[in-house]
Amino acid sequence: MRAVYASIIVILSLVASPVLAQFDAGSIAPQLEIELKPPYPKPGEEVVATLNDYSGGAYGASITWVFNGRTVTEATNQRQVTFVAGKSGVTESISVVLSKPNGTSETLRKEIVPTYLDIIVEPQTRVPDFYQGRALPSVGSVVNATVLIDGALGASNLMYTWRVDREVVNGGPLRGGSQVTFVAPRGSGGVLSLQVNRLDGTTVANRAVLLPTVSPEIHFYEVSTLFGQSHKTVADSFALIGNSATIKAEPYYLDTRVYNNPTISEWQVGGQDAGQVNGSPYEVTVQRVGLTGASNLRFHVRDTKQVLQGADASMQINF
Amino acid sequence: MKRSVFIIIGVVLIVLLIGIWVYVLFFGSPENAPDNFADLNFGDTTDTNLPINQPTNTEPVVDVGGAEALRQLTTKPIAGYQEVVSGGGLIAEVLYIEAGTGHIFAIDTESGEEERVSATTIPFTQSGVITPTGNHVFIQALNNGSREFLIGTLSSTSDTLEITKLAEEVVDYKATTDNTFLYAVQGNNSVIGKEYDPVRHTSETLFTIPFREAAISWGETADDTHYTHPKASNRLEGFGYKITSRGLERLPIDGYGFSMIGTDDFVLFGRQAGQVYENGLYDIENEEFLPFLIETIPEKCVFTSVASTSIICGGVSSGIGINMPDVWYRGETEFVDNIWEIDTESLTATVLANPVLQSGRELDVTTITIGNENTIYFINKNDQTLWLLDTSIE
Repeated sequence: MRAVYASIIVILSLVASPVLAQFDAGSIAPQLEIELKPPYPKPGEEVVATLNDYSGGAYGASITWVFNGRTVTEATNQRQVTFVAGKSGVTESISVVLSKPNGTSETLRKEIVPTYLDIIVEPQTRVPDFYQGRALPSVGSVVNATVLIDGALGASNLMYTWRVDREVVNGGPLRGGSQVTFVAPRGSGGVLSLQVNRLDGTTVANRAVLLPTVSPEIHFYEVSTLFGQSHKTVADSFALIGNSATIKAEPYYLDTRVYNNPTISEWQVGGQDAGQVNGSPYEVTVQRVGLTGASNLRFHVRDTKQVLQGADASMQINF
Repeated sequence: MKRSVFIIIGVVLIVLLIGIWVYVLFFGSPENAPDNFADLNFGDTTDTNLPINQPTNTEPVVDVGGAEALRQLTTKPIAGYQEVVSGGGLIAEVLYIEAGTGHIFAIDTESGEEERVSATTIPFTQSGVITPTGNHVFIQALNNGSREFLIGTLSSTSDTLEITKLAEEVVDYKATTDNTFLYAVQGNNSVIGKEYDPVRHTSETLFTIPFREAAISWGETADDTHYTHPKASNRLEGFGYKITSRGLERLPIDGYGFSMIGTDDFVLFGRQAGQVYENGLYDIENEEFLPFLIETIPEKCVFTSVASTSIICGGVSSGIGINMPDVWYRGETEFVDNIWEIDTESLTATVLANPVLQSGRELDVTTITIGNENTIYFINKNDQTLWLLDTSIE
């Protein structure tokens, strides 16, 4: 029976060992450390270094900060020092020397390699040809993201962990995953974050950016049969001077798949369906009938499977 | 035939003509609209609002050869233009591409005479550029709703444009001072910059940008410095890069709504800073930021030369609203610009022209270039017409 008890104890201790492993020295926050904010600065960024003393070991000690070998005299006996990160890729060091009353001293040191970690968000939504800007993500649309590290596409021998809010993209870290594709989150947006690690697990840099999610919107433009589309939007009201005018509805930020194949695309004039429009579903030609007056022109485009992928807008036509 | 018969026939003809005139006067408009017309059905409306915002008649008088400093060169929308200089350095003519048709016209700036030099119609022409010699054009047009890109060669003996179609999805382009074209095409995950020789019809890859939504600030020639940044959006962050033979070199300028233009010496940028839109100059050699004295969007400016001693801009002294530059790109808001010269050495700004005072027109400057004899050309975004400012005239 004693042997049985001994076996049970041995087995239980083995079962418990992985739990114990979580308490190795590396995972416990050191009692005396330099904390940097931001922890992975970009070149030229202001950095605040703070001496964190959880053990009280710095009590009574004089504090001397040394940045790149130069003593920061104005920060003597301060627990914080502010400095500006240098050029990209150049290693810098910040040290703090604690000279204790008993005559001993302790030095803490941290190295910084300022790095540009640029996350470029490329939503796959639609904007007109003449629009010089970037499209914005809308709910359910596809978004591509690319990271450039100091201007170059992220190296293939690094690990990339992308997150949209708390969800890890593609299920986990990706080796060489400097470009990812994901679906825009619901709501008004989220946070896109990236952590880049070396293969040995050390961190190169991390970064987080706001990821807006907008509703598609429609703007109206007048189209000249001869000269083409105006680059100025039609305001809330449009003065029909001649006998007819062609109006184009330009959906902004609509998923390109929906734009190319909308389930619903309809024009209404004075509250009545204008019927099937020949040619582009986004253009309509309106004709003056009668002397003077006003009428309402409305356009609606939508995907019935993703109802948030749609927009409608209206304008008044005065004639 | 009797005289009375002639009189009767004459009377009948007169009555018939009067009848036709009366019919045309009262029943002249077609009764049946074509199928693609949406009948407004105005008869059912109970809205009794009178028309509002009726545009006033602002039809300009074009006086190309006039003595005014600020002159409107075209009344119709244009897709692109180029000042062509003769061998002696004098302005020979100004060429422009008519929007929608692709016809190319030459304006003699001395006499004001206009001549169509290409009658080849390129339907749905949207934009284009012309080489400084005036021999070649690069045109973007629509074909069945899809964009197509054409290289055209003007003939000295006929008004026919010799056209070569470029089988690539071009996203940006420019004519160089070497009379070639710089253009960019989208790859799967990149943008590739190329140079096209319109004489040999060959192209050469210059650089690759490792993302797709790239805006490029081209140099004057293929060998000059080019810059790039992700296309601007006031909701997304952008970053400035210099394109080098080794790849992209990150510049210390970034921000939301970020866009820029640059030379070897300076970069002019615009970005959102908090709730306001701000401009700044970055001195590349000295790695320092300088204030920019007016408010504008970099795309409304041009450096006067590679030496970058001054910048010419359409802009305002203050008051650019929020949500820039998106709302300007969309055409939702417009500038009422003055033409400014900003000296990059003394950091002073001088008003070269006040279009409202000088022409009575509100101009929104875009596609601005510097000409050869104290001339500045630009397109008014409001109606896409071409304008000239002669800075030698007070």
